[in-house]
Amino acid sequence: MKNTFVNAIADYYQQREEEQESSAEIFDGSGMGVWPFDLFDDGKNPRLKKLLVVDDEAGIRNNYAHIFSREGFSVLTAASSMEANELLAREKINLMFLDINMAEVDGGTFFEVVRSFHPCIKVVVTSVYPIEEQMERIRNADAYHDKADGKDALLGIVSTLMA
Amino acid sequence: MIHSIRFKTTILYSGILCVILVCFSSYLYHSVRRILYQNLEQELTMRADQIVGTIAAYGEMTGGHMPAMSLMRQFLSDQNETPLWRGAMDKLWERHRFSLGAHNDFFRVVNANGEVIMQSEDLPSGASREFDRTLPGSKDAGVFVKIFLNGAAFRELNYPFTFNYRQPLTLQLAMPLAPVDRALSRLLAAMIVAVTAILLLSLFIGSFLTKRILWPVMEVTRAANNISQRNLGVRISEQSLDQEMRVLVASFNQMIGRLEKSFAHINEFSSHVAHELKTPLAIIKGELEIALSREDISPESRQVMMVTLQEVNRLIRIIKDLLLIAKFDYRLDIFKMAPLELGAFLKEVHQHAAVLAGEKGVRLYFSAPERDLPIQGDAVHLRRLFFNLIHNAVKFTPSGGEVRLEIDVTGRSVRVDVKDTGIGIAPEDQDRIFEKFFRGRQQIQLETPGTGLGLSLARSIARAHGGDISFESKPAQGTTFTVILPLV
Repeated sequence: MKNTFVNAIADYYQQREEEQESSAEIFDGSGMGVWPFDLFDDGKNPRLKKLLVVDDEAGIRNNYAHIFSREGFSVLTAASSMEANELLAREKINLMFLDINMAEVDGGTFFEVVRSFHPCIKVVVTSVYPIEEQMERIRNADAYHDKADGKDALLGIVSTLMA
Repeated sequence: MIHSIRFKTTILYSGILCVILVCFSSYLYHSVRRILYQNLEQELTMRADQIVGTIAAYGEMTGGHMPAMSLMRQFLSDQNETPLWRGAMDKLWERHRFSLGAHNDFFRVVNANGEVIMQSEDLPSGASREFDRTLPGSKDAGVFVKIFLNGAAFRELNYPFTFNYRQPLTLQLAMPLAPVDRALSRLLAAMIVAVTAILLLSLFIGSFLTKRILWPVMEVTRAANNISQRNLGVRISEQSLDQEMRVLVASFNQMIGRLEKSFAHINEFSSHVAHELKTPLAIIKGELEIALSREDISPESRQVMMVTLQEVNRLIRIIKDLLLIAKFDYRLDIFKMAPLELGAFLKEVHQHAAVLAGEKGVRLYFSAPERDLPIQGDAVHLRRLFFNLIHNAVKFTPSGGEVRLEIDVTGRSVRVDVKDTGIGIAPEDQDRIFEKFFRGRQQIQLETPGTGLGLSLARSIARAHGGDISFESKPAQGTTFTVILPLV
């Protein structure tokens, strides 16, 4: 399951790179595959920061969307790794909240995909597992959050990572 | 030692061997004794025959021609005391005595009335009394009897015969028992030495053999001891084991297999509990927090939501603590031990805790010795341990009181005291405060929040570090919790 998924994603990105090579010049003379609004992003304006919440629990997705849109972020949500993958292809994401325990492709596998193909995206592992266990399951994430720790802890993590 | 199979088996073997040897030896001893006595008695009978034969031959040879013999006949028939002839017979006996090899024997001849007709020249004093005692018709009468002459044991034969077909006489012949007794005591000594030596040898060999037989058990035990929660996948090899041991090892391996399964089950179960219970609580909490951050809610609703949030937080804490306790109980590997300088570590803990104490108006003091306190510890869990203790101390200390965090070194261990000037622990609660979910009566009366798991966790953590936790408390004066941790 894991390998087929990773392979499929690899194929997908290869295709995209090929497409981008032909279209990059339209947006950017430098030849880098970036999105147009990046040109105006001075990194200070949170309105341009996009967050992605990947969680199979609708309650959590809504909750986080609520919290972060009030903080002035633009929030996207995905109910599965597949959905998230689609979004990553279309949108420029700055920070991603990633649940571990999800049906089909779990957070651990998807984390590897994100690290391989989107190394710039900061990933916060969010789960109800104790932090130590989260660290065991997914190594090298930018931050770990126990969902039961609440809003303030979460905002703290985001402000640190976005500083 | 006494309760080891090796000791018991050896003792059992040697005990059985001892009983067999003692039975065999005593049977042997009595057989030899009987044979020796029978030989002695045959010898006695033979000599008595010869003496009697000599007396008869002497009578035959001399016939009626020699005055001596006629006198002897007369003497024998008339029983007149004739010392001369008695002397002649005695001399004859003395001569025979050496040819018979009977120079240690004593004898006398008595008639039917018990009167002595002749006797050995050198008959010791007191011999007459002994011989009299065994005459036919006396109380110790018998064919073969044991008597004592000059303090030495003798075997005596009472041999009836008739002289010249007229006179019934009794020959009393005594042979010393000393050679027989000497042989017997030598045999006894040899047997005691042999039995003791055999027993000692059997103890030694038995112990050695038992050790060899039990060696696989020790091996299995060693292998079993090496199996811990970390490597439940390990099985003991059944190769090169005896059949019985193989059965034992097979059952042991099966047991480990079941254990492994149930550990995996617990692991999975607590993981599910975490996920299934904490997820809805996390959602409720998140929604409440969002709702509370809105300005347009009535004070009543805010109050309700605050209480709900508090209770949700409590539930979350209980679940977290429970999962942790479950892990402490069966998975020591969750402790990531690393070198830690306790002084600096506790200073940092103190700084964090001081804020918490300050909010309540309790002063938190810190003192530590001027030296490094290196320990092996898991910083995350140790922080949990000391925060729990300080948190408790602050919780039960009224505003204006003080809590002291003091470090001392005693020998190879470090001692951390958390002293408060709080309400203390009721004496009737003191035995139970480390129990899971136990909450003291003051805690219930004062409605202080808590899960009743903090001290149980604290103790598990202290013990996982090779230390322990204890306390002393006086109601209304304060409590001191003491954590002892081994220094590296």
